[in-house]
Order: sequence, then structure tokens, then C-alpha cells
Amino acid sequence: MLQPAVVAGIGGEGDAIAMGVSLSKGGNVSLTKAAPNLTSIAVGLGWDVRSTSGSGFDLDASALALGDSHKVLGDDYFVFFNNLTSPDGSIEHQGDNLTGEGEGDDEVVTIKLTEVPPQALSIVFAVSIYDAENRQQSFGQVRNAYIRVVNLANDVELARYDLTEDASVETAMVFGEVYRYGPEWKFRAIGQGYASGLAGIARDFGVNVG
Amino acid sequence: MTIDAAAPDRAVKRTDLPFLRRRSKPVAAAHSKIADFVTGRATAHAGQPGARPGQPSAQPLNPSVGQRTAPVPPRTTPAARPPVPAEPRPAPAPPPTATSSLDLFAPQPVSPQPVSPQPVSPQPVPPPAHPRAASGPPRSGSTSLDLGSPPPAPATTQSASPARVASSTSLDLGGPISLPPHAAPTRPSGSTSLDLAPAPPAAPSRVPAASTPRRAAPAFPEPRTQQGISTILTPFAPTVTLTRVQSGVGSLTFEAVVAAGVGDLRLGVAYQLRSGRSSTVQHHAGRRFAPPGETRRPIIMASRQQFERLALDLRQVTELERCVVYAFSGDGGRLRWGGTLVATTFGGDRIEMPIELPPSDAVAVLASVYNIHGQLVLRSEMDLIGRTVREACRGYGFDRITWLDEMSPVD
Repeated sequence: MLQPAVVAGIGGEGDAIAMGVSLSKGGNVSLTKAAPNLTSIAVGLGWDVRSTSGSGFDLDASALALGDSHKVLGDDYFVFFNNLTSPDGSIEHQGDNLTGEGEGDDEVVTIKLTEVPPQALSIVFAVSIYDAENRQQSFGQVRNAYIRVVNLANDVELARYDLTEDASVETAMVFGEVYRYGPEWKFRAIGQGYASGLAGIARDFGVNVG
Repeated sequence: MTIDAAAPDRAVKRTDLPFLRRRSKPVAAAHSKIADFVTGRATAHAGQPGARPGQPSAQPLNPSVGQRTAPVPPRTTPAARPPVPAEPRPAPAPPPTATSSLDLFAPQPVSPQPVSPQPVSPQPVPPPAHPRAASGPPRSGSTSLDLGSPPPAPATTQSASPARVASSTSLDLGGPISLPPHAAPTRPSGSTSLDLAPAPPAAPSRVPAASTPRRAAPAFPEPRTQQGISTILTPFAPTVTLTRVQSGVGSLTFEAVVAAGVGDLRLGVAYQLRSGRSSTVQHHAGRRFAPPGETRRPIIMASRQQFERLALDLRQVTELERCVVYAFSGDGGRLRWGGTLVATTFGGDRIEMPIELPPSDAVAVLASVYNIHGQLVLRSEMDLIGRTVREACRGYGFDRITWLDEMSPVD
């Protein structure tokens, strides 16, 4: 008799109980309604690469905490591999998976929702391809990309968005965002691409890249 | 009576030993200034420069000197400040901390003492220049250590000071505080002797309204780059710190912008990775990548277009611990150093380091880059340090490089 697969932690092997809502592009779901006492979430981003050029693929996840006018609260709120935590500690990048191999989420960003400053109206998650121009890489070569939100209290997946479309020229993409809606937090699937890489995303959201 | 080491208060009083100074804990009198000071609760006296125990007198000295020459009027602002104090201020010798805590002549309690409500004469009344009685109970209150009062008769002051120091009561931290009532209702608000700014406005930099004698070190504003304007690193301002974004996104390139007249100038980089692996990169020797042999994703890459150039791949900046950019003569001849080393961030901010060195055939270390918690700190070194590349690297602490010869490491 087969035992049902146990819920796995973030980044672990095995199957998670797919209780989360699976969204399509543009869809959103209320995280607070799905998990009433939600305090911390882990946003996992994953992908598989199908590289034809032979050179390694390096995708980097980043998170940006935006205020009103959809601009980043400050340069410190651009959380990426060289800035692993936001100043108040609410957003934490769990580090880097350099090759994208293996099961589970490739990169994880944890968010303590209760500590996010009130001026932060949303947190956007983006993935960029490192050195895409030189290596002639784009999201067209990335398969099975997804973003999912997991409740850290019980490791239950709350929402998931699988990116399906081919993005042949984009070198960076915003996968989704977690945003405030009144007193609750919601997650929206975005899937918008950028052709200008990590710097383009950063600039677009008001990070001072200079 | 047994001796209880843990209870010094209960020790037998040795009155038979006259050389022992009377010592006891500060009286727990409320608002005792000495008690406050000792326990670190000195009341807020703006800019208390000598309040720190054991502080070298240099500090207190300055203010006192400053006070002397400062115009007197400010001193008189605090009302009811007894102009009498005019006593020649003992100049520097005694711990000037004056005013509050260490103002041994200040009134004990904070509450304004009605005593000697000397009429506040707004002008610097030249104190009756009588030398202070050395050990006499400080009658005139503030006086002696009150550097704030008009600096009259410095001469007398000088003479008074030594006597002052000898005064046992004044400096007796252990004894009961027999401070004369001092008519200085404004005293508590801090102004007196060493108060460089009796009125808050003055001497802003010294005003930590601190309730403790410790002052925080002044914050060092890290120099950053500016958008649109090049940052020029000079011997007076040799460093610049890149932000996390500037240190993580894209690449940082160094270019030796030098004229042909300088000679055959070549660039090299000695680097150290977090793993400890160290080596050099030199386009001149054909060793263009770091780590050696890593052509796919080198952390540092050397190339030459119009000028010698080095590129740091910032995606791997977490691997880089530090590196040092050096320049040497490619053909062995003397270089007439000149030109500029220009560093450019991904966003286009430029950092320019003028190469101003005397003509020489030595190896010059031009700049260093340190990864400090994810932020790169660039420092313009401009250091003619070795006859050979090996000496230059050794001079900067790259002792984990093993060398084949004077120029090339073992890779």
C-alpha cells in the first residue's frame, strides 16, 4: 500500500501536497484567506534549463519591496545575491543555486509578513539570467519555470504559478508578486519579461543601479 | 573583626595609618554631582569634554584654552551666573571638566542654590584677582575650575592652579562633597566652565546632550560615487565605497588611460578569493583569466583595446575577497608615470585615480579593491612598492601566491 507523499519542506526532495491554488497569468489569490494566521511565507522559484550552447545557465532570483508608485522603497530593499536581507530583516534571500540542477525550488526568498514595513505595498519576485547577452541565453531556453508561495508555519503550499509561455528574447522576468490588499496579503501571477536583464528590472523599479 | 573582602564598606577604619586616604563610595545623595559622575549619570552638560575619567588632559585643555580666548559675553548668558567666579581660572592643570560633574566647586544639588545670588553683570567683570586660597573651601563656587568665566589675570591663575591641585578637598572624590552653595540656577542646564556653548547654539559638534560622559565616535560618512560626476580619488580622499548594487550587478572595469609617452605600461591584478586561492592576472603574460584556466566564467578578465583593461565579474563578487591592481613596465624600461586609472561601474559611474608618481622602473600598485560585506571599497594606492611583481604582491600581503619567477605565479 502506497503511503501518500509527505509534505516536503522548501527545496527538499519529494512531493509536496499540492494544496495550493494553481494560477494562470494575471490571476491572484488571497493568501490570508487560505491561511488565516499567516505570518511568514517562503516564495520558491524553480526552473529547468535546456541549454543548447553548452555554457552554464545561471538564473538569479531577486525580490523588490515596492511602495506606492510601484517603485522600490530604497536601494536596500532590492534583495538579491549581494544583498541578502532587507534592512528590517523582513525579506531574506536564502542564497544561490548556481547551476539550477536538482529537485525542489532553486531559490527561495522568505518573507516575514508581519515585519514588512507598512510603506511596502507589494513585493515583486524576479528572475534574471546572468550574462544572458554574452551567452546568447534567454527565457526561451528555460523550462518548467514556476513560482510558489508556501506557508512557513506548516510547509503547505498556498499558491503556485507555472510559467508556460515561451519567452524567446527576455533575459529577465517578473514571476509574481505578493501584495497587500487591505488587511490581507494576496499573491498575483505576473510572468512579465524584460529584455534588459537584472539591471533592467532594477532600474525599472527605481533602484539606483549607477 | 574579620575582613570581608566583599564588603569594603564594613572594613575596619584604619585611623592609625595617616597615609591612607579616606575612601568610601560616593555618598548616595540625590543629585550628588560626583556620584552622578562616578556612576556615569552625569547630567547633560553639553559637550563635556573632560568628563571621562582618566581622559588625557589634552582634550579638556583645548576647550579651556578656547574658552579663554573666547569672547566673554556668552558666558554671561546663564543668568545668575555669579560673576564672582572671576577668580583666575586655574588654567589647564586641574581637570577642567568644570561645570557639572567634575566641577568640584559647583553646588551639590541640582536645585538652584540661592546662595550668592550675585547680580549677574552682563559684562565680564574682572574678578577680584586674588589668588585662590589653595585649600580653602571653594567659596566662590564655580570659580577655580570655572573656565567659562571671564578670563582675567591669567597670571594669577597660573599661580593658583598648582595650589589648587594640591587642594585635597577639591579633588577628593571620596570625601563628602563640601561644595559651596552655588548660585547658579542655570548651572544644571549646563553651561559653566567647559561649556563651549553656554547657549546651545554654539559649538554644535560637541553637543551630544549625553547623559553619560562617553561620546560616540563621530560617524564616518563613507564616500560614495555620484551619478554623472566622476569621483576622483586623491591622497586626501583615497577611498570610495560602492553600494551593494554597484558591487553586485554587471561588471566593474578598470582601464589604464595613459599616453604613449608613459612607456609600455601594463596592468596586472593580484587577487585573493574567499577560498584562499590567490594568483595574478596579466594580459601581458597571456594570463587573462582568474581563476587560472577559467574561460567560461572568469571572475577577472584582462584584455587590451586601446588601453589595458581589467574586468571584474560582479556576479561572482561574493567569491572575491580582495584584489590589487598594479602596473609595471612591459619592456623593462623606465616608465614616466602619468595618466589615470579609471574604474567604471555597470551603471556608468566613474572613479578616476590619477597616477602621479615619479619616473621609475619599479612596479606600482595603483589601486586596491576590498570586498567588505558585499560592498566593494576601492582605494587609490599609487604605491611604488617593488622592483618586481612578486615583491609588489608580497608587499600587499599576497603571501598565498607561489611564484615561478619574479613575474609569474605558479598556476
